[in-house]
Amino acid sequence: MENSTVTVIKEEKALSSVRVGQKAMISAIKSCPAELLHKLVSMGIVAGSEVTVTQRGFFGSPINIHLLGSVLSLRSAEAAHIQVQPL
Amino acid sequence: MTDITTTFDDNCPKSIALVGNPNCGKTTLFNGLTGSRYKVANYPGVTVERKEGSLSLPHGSCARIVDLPGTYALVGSSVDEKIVTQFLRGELAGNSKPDLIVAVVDATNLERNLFLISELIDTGYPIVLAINMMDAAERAGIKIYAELLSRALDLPVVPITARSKSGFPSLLQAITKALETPSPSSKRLGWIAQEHPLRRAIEDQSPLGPASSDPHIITTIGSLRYAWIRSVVRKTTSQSSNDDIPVVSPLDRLLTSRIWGLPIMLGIFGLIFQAIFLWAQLPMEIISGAVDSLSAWATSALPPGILTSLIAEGIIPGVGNVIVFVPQIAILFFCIGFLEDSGYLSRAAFLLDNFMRKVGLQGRAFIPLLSSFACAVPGILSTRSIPTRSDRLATIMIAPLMSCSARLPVYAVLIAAFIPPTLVGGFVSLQGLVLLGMYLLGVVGACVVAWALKKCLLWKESCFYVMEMPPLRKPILRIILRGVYDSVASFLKNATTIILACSIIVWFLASYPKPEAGYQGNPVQASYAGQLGTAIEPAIKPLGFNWEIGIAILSSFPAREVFVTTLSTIYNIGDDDDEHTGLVKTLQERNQSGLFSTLTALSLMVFYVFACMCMSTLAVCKRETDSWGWTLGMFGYMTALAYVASFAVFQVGSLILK
Repeated sequence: MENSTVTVIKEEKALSSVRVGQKAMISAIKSCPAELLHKLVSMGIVAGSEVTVTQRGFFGSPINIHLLGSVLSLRSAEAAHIQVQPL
Repeated sequence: MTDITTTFDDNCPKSIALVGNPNCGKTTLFNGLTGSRYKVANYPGVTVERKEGSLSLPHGSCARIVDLPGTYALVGSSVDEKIVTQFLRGELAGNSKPDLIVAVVDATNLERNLFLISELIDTGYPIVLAINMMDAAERAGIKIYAELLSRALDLPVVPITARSKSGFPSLLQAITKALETPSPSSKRLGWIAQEHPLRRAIEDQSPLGPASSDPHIITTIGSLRYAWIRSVVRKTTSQSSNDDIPVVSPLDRLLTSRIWGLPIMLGIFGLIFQAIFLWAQLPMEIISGAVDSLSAWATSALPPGILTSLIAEGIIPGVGNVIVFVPQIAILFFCIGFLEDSGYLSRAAFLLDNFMRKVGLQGRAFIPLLSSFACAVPGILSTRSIPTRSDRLATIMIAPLMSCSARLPVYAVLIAAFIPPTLVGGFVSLQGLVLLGMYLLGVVGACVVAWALKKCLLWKESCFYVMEMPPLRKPILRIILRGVYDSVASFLKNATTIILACSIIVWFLASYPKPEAGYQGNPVQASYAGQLGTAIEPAIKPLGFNWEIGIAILSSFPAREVFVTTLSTIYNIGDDDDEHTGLVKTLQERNQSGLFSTLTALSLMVFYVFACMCMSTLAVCKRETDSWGWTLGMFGYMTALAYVASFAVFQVGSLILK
């Protein structure tokens, strides 16, 4: 990730690799089919939103995240499109 | 599928659309406003039917109100969500554009809910905003200043709690006012900063127009809308710190835990199947006793003749033997309703998604499939919440493999007659285990079929699973009981129409022509039904079925539960003595005399697990797939599967027993 700002920004990673209990801020949604993108955006998954990973299923999927006062459930394949910065 | 026709058309010229996110309590509000009875669920996407009612307003006027499916945005991808957009565009056949939108938001989840509102505002429709679940918000320490919110959004805003009907008078007043003096929402694109570089491109995006496919535009619009919403929410609400309340409750954590989640789920479903057999026993015995004495009374009280024979031997045992299953159906629906309203079903979908994905489905298919245990018709209807066509088709095709409540009478009679009521390990009933086995067999069959369908017939499409987990909450008894009442009522309606008709037809076919004088065999065998059964006997003999079972199977193609009716009619008529014994007893006697083996009973149950014997299922499949190919394909593959599986059970079983 190129970053020219002075403040140290933690490395970005995919939401799918964030461990349970970790808080993170969404920075971007990448290479995502338009239909899924519309869905994610409408549910509040936009750059700048804060999420906390609350639960994960077997083999890490589905992944539940707390966002805007409620819990969303998505598959790790979908969470892989979402870039976050751990807080 | 109840369609409330618009008989109020002349008196109620105005129409209102009820719009909101899934799970925001929209349907509860609809029920409260119209006083009608409908199903309320705690799972995103269950509201799929078009529901219209009449709303009486102050000053004696009224309006039509339509409950639209829950949606997060106007560019939704599922069938449900598209309906909302089409309705608001005025494109749905038979629906004109509404005069007013009543938008419902969940007070505890305001930011996400306001996203849809920000899109609705852009449509220019007059809107009244109802903030629902104010009681829950209060408990969570959220304060919403309706006045301020109303000014920020430039809309009438009314706080309500739909579950306890509080705030309804103010809402009705606001609706009346908005209908009398409509003020189109005028804040179009109020969320775009004047100087935004993409302003032109964004302004070209109409909320009811075609959805953009440019990722940059989609994310920019989303971010802008949410930024605007955040600023509105910050100005109009306050939240006392609630750090002591965990985001995920300990109970929720336990139910979805990797170690305990699945065992608990299996335990819950196991308990339900045990309950269906153990708790329902007493009421069933009472009903069946009453049916027997009614039938005996009819025989003795009415003058002998054709009519008496029809009533005492055809109608009473025919309908009675189906009504007997009301207690079991009531218990099953009570359990499903409890799990649905408490929010547990979404946890089950979470636990099962991995597994469902392996067979090519998604966690969301779990709800239609679980509903199909009750009845495939609502199950198939609820597949509308699955956004991808291939997933949806695969789910529809396997839904009837889930053992529905109509199969329960068949299993119940055969299990009661042929499986000894012993307890395995001291507390698990063997009968309950066999029943669970039949249900599991259907599930396994469904997995194989789904996997094969996705592999061979259905093209690979991108599919996704993104859903909101409703909070776990104490289910409301009233809502569960309403669901139980609805299903029992529709079951009884079936029993008094299709099954009554079938019992009369079967009675006629089994009674005529009367055998000639001096005929030695069973009089039924000489009848039309007997001739028909005998004709197909060679085809079903390898499955272990004789001509009597053949008749029962043929007659139950319109509806499975007719099987029980037919068997009791045949045996009642065939009985030489006038004593009316219960069907179970008759079957046990036949078992002892070697006429009906336990292996045949097992083979028969397996046949019923797989066979597609339900007119309503085929009708709804045709309606939902809009294709005769898929409908006939469903009938064909299920019948073939039933034949092959039954054949295997009987032949392999015979070999082992040798």
